[in-house]
Amino acid sequence: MNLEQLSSELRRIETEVSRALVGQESLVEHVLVGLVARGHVLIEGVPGLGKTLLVRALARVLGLSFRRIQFTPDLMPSDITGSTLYSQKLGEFSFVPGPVFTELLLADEVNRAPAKTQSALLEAMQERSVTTDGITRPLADPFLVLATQNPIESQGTYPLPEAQLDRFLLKLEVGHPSQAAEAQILHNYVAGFDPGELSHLTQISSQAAVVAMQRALGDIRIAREIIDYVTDIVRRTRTHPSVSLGASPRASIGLLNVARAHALWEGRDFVIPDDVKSYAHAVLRHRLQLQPDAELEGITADHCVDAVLRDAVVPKTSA
Amino acid sequence: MSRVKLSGMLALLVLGSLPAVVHATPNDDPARSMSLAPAASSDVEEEEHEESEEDEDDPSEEVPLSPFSSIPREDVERSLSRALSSPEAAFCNEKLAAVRDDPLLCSLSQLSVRQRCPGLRAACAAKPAASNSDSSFAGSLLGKGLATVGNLVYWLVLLVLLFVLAVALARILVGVEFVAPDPRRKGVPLSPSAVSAVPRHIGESDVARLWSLAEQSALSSRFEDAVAALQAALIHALRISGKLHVSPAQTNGDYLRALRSDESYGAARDVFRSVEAVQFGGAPASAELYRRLFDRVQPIVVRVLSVLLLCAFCFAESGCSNALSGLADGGGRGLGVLTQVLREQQVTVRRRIRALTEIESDVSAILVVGEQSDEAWPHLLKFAEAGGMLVVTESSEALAKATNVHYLSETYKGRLDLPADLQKVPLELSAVAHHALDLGPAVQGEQTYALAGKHPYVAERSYGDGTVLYFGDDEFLSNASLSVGDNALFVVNLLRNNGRVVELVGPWTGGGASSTLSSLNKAGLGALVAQLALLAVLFGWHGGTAFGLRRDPVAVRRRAFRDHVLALGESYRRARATRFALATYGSWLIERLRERLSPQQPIGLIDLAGRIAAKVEQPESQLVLLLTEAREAQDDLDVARPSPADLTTLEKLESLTLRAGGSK
Repeated sequence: MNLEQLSSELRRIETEVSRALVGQESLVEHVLVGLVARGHVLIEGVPGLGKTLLVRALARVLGLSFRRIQFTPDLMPSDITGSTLYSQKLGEFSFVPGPVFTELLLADEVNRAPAKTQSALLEAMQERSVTTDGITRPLADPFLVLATQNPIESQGTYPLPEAQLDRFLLKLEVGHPSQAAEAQILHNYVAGFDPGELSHLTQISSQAAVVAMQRALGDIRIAREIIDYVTDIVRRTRTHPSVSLGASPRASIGLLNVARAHALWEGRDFVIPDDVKSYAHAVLRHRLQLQPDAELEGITADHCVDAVLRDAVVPKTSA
Repeated sequence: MSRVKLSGMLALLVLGSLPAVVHATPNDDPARSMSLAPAASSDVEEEEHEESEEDEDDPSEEVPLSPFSSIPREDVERSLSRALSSPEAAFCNEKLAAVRDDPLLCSLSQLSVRQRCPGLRAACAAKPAASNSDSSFAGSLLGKGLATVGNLVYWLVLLVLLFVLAVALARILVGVEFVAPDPRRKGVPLSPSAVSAVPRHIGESDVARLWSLAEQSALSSRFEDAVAALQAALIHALRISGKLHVSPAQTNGDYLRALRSDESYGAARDVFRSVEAVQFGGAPASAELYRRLFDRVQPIVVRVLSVLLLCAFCFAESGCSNALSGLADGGGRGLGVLTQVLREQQVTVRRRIRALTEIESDVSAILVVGEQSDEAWPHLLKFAEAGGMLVVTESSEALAKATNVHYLSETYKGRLDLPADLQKVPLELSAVAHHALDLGPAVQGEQTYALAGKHPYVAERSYGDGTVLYFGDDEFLSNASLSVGDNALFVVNLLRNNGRVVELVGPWTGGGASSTLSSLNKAGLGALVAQLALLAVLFGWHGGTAFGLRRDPVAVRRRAFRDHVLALGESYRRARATRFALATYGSWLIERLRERLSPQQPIGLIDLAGRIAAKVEQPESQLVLLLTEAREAQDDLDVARPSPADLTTLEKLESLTLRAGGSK
């Protein structure tokens, strides 16, 4: 498939998923871009916005396998990766794969499990493999972790450590749908829509097609000025007065990959500055550690990214 | 003005200072004239009037009947001297060629030997080709040369500007057809100087220059620069239209999002995509691409440039229309001398600004200068009919119809004759006349005062209870005219005869406005205000609905201290900084407890706990534990580890402080 066909297919996927998840087109686009960029997505939003429905609908439309883990304080790492158990029938130890062995993994309320359990996902997310009892087992390809967390609850939660956060390519903030979209949701409900039953959605893509999309990223051209623009933005996060720890080089790579994926989404074979700028917040916001006094003053990471983007000069600008 | 009243002023003529130059009176006897004695009151005037009627048969005792004697000659001469020597009477001392070029001034100066302006006479006598050794003449020659050069430069610049404007308009309105460069010349490289002479589009915000840069680049086959310049021209044209805010940090996507609901969205998207493909996608920039983008951008840019030109035109028009005509009172043709001399003779002279609908009762004479509207004449005639003196210097249909006096086009240059009944009055009057009067059949109450050849030049005719005084030309009343001979004496006496308040009525009369619009119009600001309004409409049109939107003023509320504390607490809560709050607020409470319970000397936590325990009757061990926890929080500021225990400790400490006497 050429770029235009891939772009067209991505659009059709978005349209089909949006039949189930009404009023969150931007969220669907970002998740798909993250999937094409081979990244993982952290979704922050209050309960009831359809995060689980999104993953299930995606799995259905993309034709990928789907597993869900509800993170709780007593969740153990082996509950994620799987464990080796003795089989009395066979008289030997055998590995029972955990839910991580899937193509789409929903880590629901990931900040409710302690750091040790969260860390079980580290290797899986970065290396795309799981090592137990000295044996490394590769995960499926594609492999996408969609983690969710609730922004308003603090009691009984374990904030994700920086190393864990850096593994996520995108952090998306989900807002409430518009009034019209919410009315449409109610209409669908009255008409008999069942979030647990998504058989009415059409499978548009396949595992092979998704892999082809991911590999097509290599054909997206990146001009030298775009690379300079990306590094300029990331470096500015490190010198911003309200940021104590700026974005890492992994963030630069992630921003570049996301820009390529967005170019593919748009059907272009080259990256433009707008691809970078439009995804800068999603890539950088969870990678910035703010100064305590900045937090006390109500400054958020998004404010810092805004300031950085206001200062970074767009290459070949007409201004 | 009646004949009786006029003749009552006869004896006031003073002949002692009259020079020997008395015109056209063969029977004139200066010695006899000098024997006249002035009279001081109207009673005397009446008596002398009667005496003159009785003595009229005796030639040896004849006293000239003069209506020009109410003001003594010396007084007029003094006033005239002051008026002509003042700096405002520039014409009188002017020696430049500009004076010589005025036919009226020089003609008058040659008519009379009693010319009171030596500078004027010298200027008129001098020849243009005078000696170069004369420094003033050299200065005037230099000034004239510079003025000529300045005029030439002015017209040259104006012509160039008009030409540029015409070319720009033609190119914008007709449209420039892009012609691809000759392929045979494609390989010819531009010289380095030519390349460096073409500015880059980055940093340039002038749409016209960007447009020109795009054309230059295209004609040089540098199509990548050309399309980039086209894109920049488009962006800045939209910026000028108020649709975009342009900054170096804005991407094309930002601009498109701002234009999402605008009609130019489609064209902008097409241009942006094509240019980005060239700039970032390595796509070739060709003449075809440039031509296509040119066609997309042209309508938008042309529209903006047209508006800019329209605005420039409006401003230029307002500048040109600001031509305020004024009366130069100090010039040779002004009325400054007449005004000043009259004022020095205790005559109130004022310009009438208000309309003529209601003329004040104290006005004795109205001097009409220049043409008046048809609506004004009924009021003027009514004024004359009620007993006032109306002085006119130009023909008017309404006036001719009412008084049957007409103006004739007669040219006359020389000394004016006096009529037979005034032959013995020693006056030298000179004029450069262009008109004369046709009084028609003689009527009662008519008096001719001066003749230009055969025709009356100055005459008076009764009208109702008043009179109308006619002058052949208004130039007879001008400064230059009054500076020669006895013109001033003649005019001043005539005008003052009727009273002490003279009003000048001219183009300025009726300038008072009845409404704001009328006021603006009369002030010459109507066109300017209309253009400003047009500009406002244009800006509103291009600025969109945001222009002129009404909104309530922002009320700045003063917040209570409590609000600040609550906001701070909320910030702590959001940051989950329970430990930080315990450390800061706890240490502050401990210090307050120390100040209250041991104001003289600082004490440690254990001693402080002992004193608090004694006061609040609580176990000392619990208090030591509480104070220690609060103190340790300062050394362990882990903001990222919120704990409900910190808040509990803080609450206990606050309660303890209140029980121990408070924090104040």
